[in-house]
Amino acid sequence: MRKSVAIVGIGQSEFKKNIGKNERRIALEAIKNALTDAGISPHEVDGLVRFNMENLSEVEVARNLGIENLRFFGEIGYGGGGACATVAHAQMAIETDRANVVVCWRARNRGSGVRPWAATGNRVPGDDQFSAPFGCVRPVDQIAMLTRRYMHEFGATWQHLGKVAVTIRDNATRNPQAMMQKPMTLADYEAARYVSEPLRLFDCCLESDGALAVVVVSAERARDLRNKPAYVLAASQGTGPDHVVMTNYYKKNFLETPSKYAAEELYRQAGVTAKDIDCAQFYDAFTPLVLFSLEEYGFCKPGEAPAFVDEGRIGPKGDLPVNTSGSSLSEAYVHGMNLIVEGVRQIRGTSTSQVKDAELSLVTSGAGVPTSAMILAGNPS
Amino acid sequence: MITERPMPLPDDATTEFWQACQKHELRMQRCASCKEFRWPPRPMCGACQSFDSEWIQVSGRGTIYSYVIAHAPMLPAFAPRAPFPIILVALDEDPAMRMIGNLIGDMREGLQIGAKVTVAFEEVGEVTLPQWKIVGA
Ligand SMILES: [Zn+2]
Repeated sequence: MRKSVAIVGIGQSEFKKNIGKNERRIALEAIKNALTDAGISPHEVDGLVRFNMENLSEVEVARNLGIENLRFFGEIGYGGGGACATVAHAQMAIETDRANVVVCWRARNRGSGVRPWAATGNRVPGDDQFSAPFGCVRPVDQIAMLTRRYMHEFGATWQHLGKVAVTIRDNATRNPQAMMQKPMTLADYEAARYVSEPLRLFDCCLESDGALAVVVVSAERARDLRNKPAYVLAASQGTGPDHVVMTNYYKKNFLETPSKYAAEELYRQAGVTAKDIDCAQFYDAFTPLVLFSLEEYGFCKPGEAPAFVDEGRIGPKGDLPVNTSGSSLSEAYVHGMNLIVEGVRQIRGTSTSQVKDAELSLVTSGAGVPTSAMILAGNPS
Repeated sequence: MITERPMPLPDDATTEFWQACQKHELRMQRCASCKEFRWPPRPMCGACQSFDSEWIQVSGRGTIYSYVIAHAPMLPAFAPRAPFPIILVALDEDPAMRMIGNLIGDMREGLQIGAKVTVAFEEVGEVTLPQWKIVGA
């Protein structure tokens, strides 16, 4: 239901290449910070939603926080596709009276820890048995394969990818929490090494240690709390037909991603269109995902995102400012949980790249994987 | 980090594919009931929900649909080849049936979207992998 719940607390750890603390510790710090921000006692928490890739269990969070009666808990799959879905599940739990105060979190020491692809085994099961033996194991290769075809079909160039990276870096330089503080030009972007052609180093997200958490309560409860609530206008999940997680090579419509389906469901619930959105935090594990998302979330037609970017429309003074914290490319890569927190800041008016009078704030999760999205709103009615 | 090259772990749906490769035949799973190809192989047909399938030998001809050039860092088994191409081939029999592979010898001559390729089997230990050659290169 529209605006039945709100995000009323946001919290995070520092973001670093090597934070020097374990995931359990930084998760608890982020959760504690989010509850303090909300002005809600940990004893009131009765719901938790985690990523299924999360190493920290609900019971461990409950024991450390002193939660007395954890009556709702669940987990979301598909890595970075799951971030907004954690809030979507919290929303359903609160609406159905299964919980009053739900915390969603993600903690990941990916900067100091191992690259998941580096743990590929000697014998690869499932669909990956048809790609790993050929050296196609890294997410960057998987997304580069989509990108090359996209560039071929629509005439996109490295400059379009570069402008996405440069715009987002510019936002990061205003955000003191962001890992990347050094300004970057298009020439800097071009000079960096390739990782998987056509993708270069700065097309790829950061390798970060960090944790974030959000607190979700009913709209009724939200009104009595200290922060301006970020109401959940709509929250959706989507996969689309014949989908094969990252190795999305086998479906009939090669360039279509689950985002298209999450977007349709999102706007159906919200009763608004892309034209009504004031700012967007697009999942940006890689720059081309921003181009794909501009199209699949309805801001332009297929193939028009490169021109949209060229015209400066995603910049802070454009008609759709995107990724205003520096996001996965330049703030931190924490499976997109930082995009939700930034989406909330835009509603509160506290972003370091604040969009004036932002009323509808779009947040999306992993593109190219089963995904989720939400629209946050500032006006309670 | 493993040092060996990752190899397939065949299962009940994929064993016949890999066995055919050992005979240097490219056989694709097709629904025995409604004749839709299933790729990658799986137990049930999404169109008619039949569990029955047949393994159809295809021509081994296709077109490069997309490709990347992989640079370091990567798994140690592939590092000596870097940078090397990974290609996506759309099969002539059904262009929606696309296979990831490499070019024999990592040759880059003629590498572009739309290039015609033919299958070329590569023995890696006990496994035979379907790889590709650019026609005319
Ligand atoms: Zn069938």
